[in-house]
Amino acid sequence: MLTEQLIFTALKHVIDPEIGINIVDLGLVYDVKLLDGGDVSIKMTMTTSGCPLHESIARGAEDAVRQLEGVSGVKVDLVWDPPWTPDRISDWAKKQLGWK
Amino acid sequence: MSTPFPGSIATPFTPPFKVVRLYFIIATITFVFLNGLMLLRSGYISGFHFQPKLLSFAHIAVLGWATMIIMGAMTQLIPVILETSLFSVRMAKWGLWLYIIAVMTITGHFWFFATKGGGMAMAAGMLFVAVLLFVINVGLTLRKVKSINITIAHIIAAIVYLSVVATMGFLLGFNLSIPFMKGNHLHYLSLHAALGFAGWFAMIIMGVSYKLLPMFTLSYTYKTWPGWAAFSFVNLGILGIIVEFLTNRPFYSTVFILIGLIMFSYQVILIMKGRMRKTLDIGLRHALLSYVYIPVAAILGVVISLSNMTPDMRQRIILIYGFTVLFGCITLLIIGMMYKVVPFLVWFHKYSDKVGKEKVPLLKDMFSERIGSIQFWFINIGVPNVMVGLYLENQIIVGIGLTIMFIASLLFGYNMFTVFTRK
Repeated sequence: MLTEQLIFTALKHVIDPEIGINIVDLGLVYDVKLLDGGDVSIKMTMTTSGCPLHESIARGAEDAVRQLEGVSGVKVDLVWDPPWTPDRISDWAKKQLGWK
Repeated sequence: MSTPFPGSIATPFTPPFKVVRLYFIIATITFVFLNGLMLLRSGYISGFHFQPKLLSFAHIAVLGWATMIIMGAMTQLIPVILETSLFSVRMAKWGLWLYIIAVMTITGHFWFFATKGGGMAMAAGMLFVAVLLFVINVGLTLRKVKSINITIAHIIAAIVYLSVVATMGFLLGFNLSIPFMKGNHLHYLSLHAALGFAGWFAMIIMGVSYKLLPMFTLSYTYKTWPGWAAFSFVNLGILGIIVEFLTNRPFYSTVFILIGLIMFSYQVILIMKGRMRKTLDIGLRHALLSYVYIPVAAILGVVISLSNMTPDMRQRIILIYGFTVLFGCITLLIIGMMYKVVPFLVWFHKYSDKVGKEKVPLLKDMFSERIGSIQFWFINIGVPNVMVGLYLENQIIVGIGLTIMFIASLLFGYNMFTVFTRK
């Protein structure tokens, strides 16, 4: 059964190719909503505005979720407010980035 | 409900890959060629700086290598950063070919010092037009900027200085063919070089660093006033260079530039202190090393302009200064940024529409980090080796340094080849 948790798991397969960490652990995904009829709304951001990878990462998020069974449509909203801050990075990702 | 991406990500702003790729491939080939040529003709890297072979080396480095890479990177990244289209892709494409022909022609004319027959003037004219096409293209793209941030301010200043440097270069080239300038040619040449280094290259290095360094290191919580202070001091210094040129009175311009570059270094330290990404990859290691050379070059600039030295020592320091700027500051930063930008370009072209659907490589998987590390240490040893050799006027030490640098250039070229030919 399609759940928001399942959608988050799918989004974990979208890796920022520069940093090497998925967009969920980087804290780029602000909100995921499972709507009626299998539609999915994702609100996400990038680490910086003008990030050259924004196009492929956002499209990758859409494609990753679209592959889930039960999903009929995906809408990705790229937002800059509130701006992303490093506080949103998960503890696991911090370790990957070299934090001890 | 499946809607297209909203706002900025709906439109592909990136110029065609095959256009941008050309800048990087040709510049990389030029870099390897330059290192090979310097090794084969290392005896010319000594003595008075205004001599045919040194002029040729310097212009291959600044035009065929550094400026070509910067042009390619700006053609690619400015539309993406500004979220707008490049004013003209056709202008970028044809401008590049004209630029390549012009650089080959003018460096060839310098090499043989072929000043008779108007060929030098024609080459200088071609180069001027090619640079002008680039300036117009970027300038008209920048016209769409909504607000000026620190990076945009630096890029605008750099473009203005590039226009002035190109105009002066054209006049100097013309003057070598058909003398028309009053006074000493070298007097004008020093302004041309100073504006090129402190104006075009310093502004680009600083401006691009303020954008890319936080992006690559995930650094967001730092003060930005040192960056603006650096911008002000360096530009004050450049103004001083022009005043000194016009009045022949000391303005201590190099001291202002030194203060500016120290402020820049302080800004880099603040960015690095606030970074979330603690591990430094091969690209960042190169970039950080280049930031170490920047104050060194600035101190040498002050020494050249203000201290009393014997003519022989002065010549040596000028050579070391030029070498440090070209290979310590500019080349190291360019190599570092190329390890970040070129894999991205190829990755974007080949894999961007596969994200989320299948496993795609990371940018660091696009080349051999091991070869990159070996190359880093080779260049790390080669550059200071040549600097010491130039100071001691010891051709053997210079030759050893250039051999190490040539090997480094081959390793770097191999890594770039691996990225571009990735299946």
